[in-house]
Amino acid sequence: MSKVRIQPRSDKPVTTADLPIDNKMKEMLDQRIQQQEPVRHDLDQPVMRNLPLLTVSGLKMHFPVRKGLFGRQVGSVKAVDGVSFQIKKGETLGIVGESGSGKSTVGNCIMRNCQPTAGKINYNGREITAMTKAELRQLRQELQMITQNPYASLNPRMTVHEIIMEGPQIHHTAGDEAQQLETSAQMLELVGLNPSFSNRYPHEFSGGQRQRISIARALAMNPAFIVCDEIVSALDVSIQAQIVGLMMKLQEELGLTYIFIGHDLSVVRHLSNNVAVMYLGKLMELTSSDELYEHPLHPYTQALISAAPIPNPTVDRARERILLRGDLPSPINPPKGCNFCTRCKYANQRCREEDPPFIDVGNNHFVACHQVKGGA
Amino acid sequence: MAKYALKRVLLLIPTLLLVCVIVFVLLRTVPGSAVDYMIYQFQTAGVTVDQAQVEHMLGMDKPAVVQFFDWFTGIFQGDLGESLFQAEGVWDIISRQLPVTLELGILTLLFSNMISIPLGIFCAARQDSVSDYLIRIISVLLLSLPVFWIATIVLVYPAVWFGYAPPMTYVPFFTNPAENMKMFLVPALLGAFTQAGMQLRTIRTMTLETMRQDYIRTCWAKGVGETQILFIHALRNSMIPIITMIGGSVAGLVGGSVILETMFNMPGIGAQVVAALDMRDYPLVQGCVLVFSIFVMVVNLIVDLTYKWIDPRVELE
Amino acid sequence: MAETILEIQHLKTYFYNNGKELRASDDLSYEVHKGECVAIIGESGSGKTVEALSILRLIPYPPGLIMGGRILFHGQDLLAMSDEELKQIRGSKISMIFQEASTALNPVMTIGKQIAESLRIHKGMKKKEALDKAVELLARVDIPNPEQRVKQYPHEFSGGMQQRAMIAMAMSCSPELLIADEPTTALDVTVQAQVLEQLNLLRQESDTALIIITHNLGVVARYADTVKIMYGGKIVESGTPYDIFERPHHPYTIGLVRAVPRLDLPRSHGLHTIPGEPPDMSQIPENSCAFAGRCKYAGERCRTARPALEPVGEGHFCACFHMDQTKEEREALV
Repeated sequence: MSKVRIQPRSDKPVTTADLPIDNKMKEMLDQRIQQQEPVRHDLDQPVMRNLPLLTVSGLKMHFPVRKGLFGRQVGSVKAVDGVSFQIKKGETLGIVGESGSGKSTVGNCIMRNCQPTAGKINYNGREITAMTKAELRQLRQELQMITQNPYASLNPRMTVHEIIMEGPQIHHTAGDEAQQLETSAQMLELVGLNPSFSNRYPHEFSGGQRQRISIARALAMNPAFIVCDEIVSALDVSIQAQIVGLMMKLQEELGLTYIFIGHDLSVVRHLSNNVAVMYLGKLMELTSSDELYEHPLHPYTQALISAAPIPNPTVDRARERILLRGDLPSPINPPKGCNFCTRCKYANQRCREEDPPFIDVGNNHFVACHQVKGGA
Repeated sequence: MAKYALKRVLLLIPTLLLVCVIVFVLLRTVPGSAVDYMIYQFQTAGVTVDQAQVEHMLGMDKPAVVQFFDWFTGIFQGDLGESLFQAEGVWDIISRQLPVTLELGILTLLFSNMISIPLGIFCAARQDSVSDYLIRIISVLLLSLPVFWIATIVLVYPAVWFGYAPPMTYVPFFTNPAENMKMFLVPALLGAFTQAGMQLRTIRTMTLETMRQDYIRTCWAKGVGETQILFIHALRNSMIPIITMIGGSVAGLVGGSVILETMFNMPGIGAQVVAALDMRDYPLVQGCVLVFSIFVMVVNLIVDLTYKWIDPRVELE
Repeated sequence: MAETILEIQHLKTYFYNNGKELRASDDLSYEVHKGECVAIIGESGSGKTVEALSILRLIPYPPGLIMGGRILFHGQDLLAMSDEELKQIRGSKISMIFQEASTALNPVMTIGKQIAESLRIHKGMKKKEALDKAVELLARVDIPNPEQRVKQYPHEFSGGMQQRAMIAMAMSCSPELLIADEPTTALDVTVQAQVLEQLNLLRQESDTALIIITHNLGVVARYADTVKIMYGGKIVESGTPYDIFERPHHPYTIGLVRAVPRLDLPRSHGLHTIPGEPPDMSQIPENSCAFAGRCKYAGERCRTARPALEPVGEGHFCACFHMDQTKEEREALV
């Protein structure tokens, strides 16, 4: 693990040829990409590269469930229940899980959109959970989040220019009007949109273009770290590939670090160096992307991989299907012992009583399963 | 559900207490009092009385707080006091006249729903057809014509042409239903027409909205007939706003019946309250308002419980 | 080849909005055989759902209108039938399941009653008998405690169970043809696998033909017998899943297949992207290839004439003027 791939991850390097823009734009963009080159300097320093940029340890987020006239707390939704991981600079951590797994809540905790119940989130040596309001403001320039729904997240009454420049204006980094216009045009170019779109309104754009605008808005803050929460889930296949390509290109060019949250293992794995599999608020498995597919250890990961369809009949029909029975248990009342024990075909008495620890079984492959530990 | 209903009934008590206080205070702060009215009555009859005498006669020489507590404690003993101007207990008056108003109200409601629900659904099913337009035009007409005007026509023309007039004496329903209906049918239908105009439009809009839903498409795909889709699947789903509207109109029925009661010479409580207010007949007004409030609150409770019955997703909290 | 049960001939379903004509289904023809699983793949706005809804004449009017063509079910034209005749077929011979079960089930009626409704209409069952049968059907789609579940309302079911109840409802009268419009789109991957497996099992048991409409290529690779790729209201390529995924001829099909990240290949295997956005269907000129605007092979001819489906192999058809030029790309596929 921990090999940082500075080389583009596709067999074909991502170029501006992939972007739906005209030739003049491509020239401008290519120039810009060349000018961008120096930004990559910190990636080229191996020492810097190996330091974790973000360390999450023992993160818990419990939302109280209130009932009755006086809002008595009758329980809590354990959305995130003890999650730990690290992300190195310039890398991508994928978090994959089904609805109700708490994957988005992890992203929201890192952004401090919610105050974690317990645990530590260390970003570049600073403790996010203990930050004051002023420090958070500062932090949110470096940390950006892009969310799933490109229809809901853009204010319909603001022009694209206003949307992109809103963040920098709030943080007083926008500069004068001319500079602002230049920045927003640059950002639009960067995400593969025509800079002349800046006076249009969100409703004039398609889903994929809106997601590009969301990305441009995040980039305008000049962030180092972006939490991408299901950013391609609502998009068509061909547009999804465009956005995935764009995110990878931006990472190469700007040396960004991502958390990429999604429910589609194929997409998440494609983008990520490491993938964490979440189930009912807990991490089940965490390892490098290729290792995860080749040697999935956790029964849930195995089921997830087997359920993910492969668009090739020869390959897909030859695979054995592991079908999970039943539904996700309620996060208010998770099962005793291992969270997955109710649906696991290997579960025994121990799994139903004792919560398996999340441990490294070698080669930076973390897994929380009694069965794996017994076999290893 | 029973627990929820009980909770709501218990919550009625503080609300009613508040109603009692507000009515009592408001009535007494309005310019002009029962005493003035009484003195004026005596004067026109040629009798001179002094203020203190009248105050004593009406029991208004006591401090207001004492008056309130007398009245208030009486309520719990089923005694709403005596009318100041009619030699009769308030409760006797209400219990005699309220049934008339209630009957008129319930009949109005019944008729207006019998008209508006089928027609509203029909209009939605035949959206933009000639009959849809016609019905909608008529409903706007009904909405915009004042009830007293139609009532006058309905009273005058049959009398002129056929020498017919509705009966002028009230017969309770259970004594003689036929006679009773003779009196109630025409005013109830009149009231219903004006109500139905508004309701029809709401029901049409709601049904159109419901008919666009995915589960209605599922019904079509299942081979369910149009009538069943409209009256089983769509109606129940569009019922919540309709029930809310009906609940709201019930409250208005009690007060809105004054015109019809007066014109058709029905001994209802609506006309009585207006007269009592004029005379500042404090106990009678207070009693009526109290009974009305209980009525409206009970109707609201029923409406809320109906929501749960109609839509299982509704959480009663 | 088994008996043909459904034959769609030159189906034209158009929409009219603000005076613009949108040809959502533009001269579409294909056949479905007994027991066959036909997958129709397209992105949003390709007209795939419209085409499916047209079969049972469920297109809302206004704005949609079936302008021409025939849909023959056992030789009888569904488009020429009276409403009464069509009602006999809907839900009994041809049934349909929809994208989001959560909105496609009546929220104020119990699941049992909704399943029983079909049985009462088409099989003439009494209330009690139909409800008993509904319990049986729920058990068949693996819903635990069917006796209790049958009395519950849709909101008390999870997403996967709702979709399974929909399947039970659609299969209740043992239809000859089942149309599934994005049946698993709203579901989680593991639930999606359960539901698809269930659907496939039931279909094989009763020899029901299935038209499955989806944007997810992976879903069809496993189950489909025939795959049709739709773009801009037209079928651009059609063949077995092996033809479509391993020997695609149309530039759009190739682009689509290469745009999906493959779990089974190393990450270094790159993603290909189709430039541009799916076109606004009301903007596609009548005499042109709908894909011309995004196609790297497009030439003058593509913008002035409309390619027809031509055979490129046994049961494999493609509508493209430049399919010879796609050979290199095709052979690069894994």
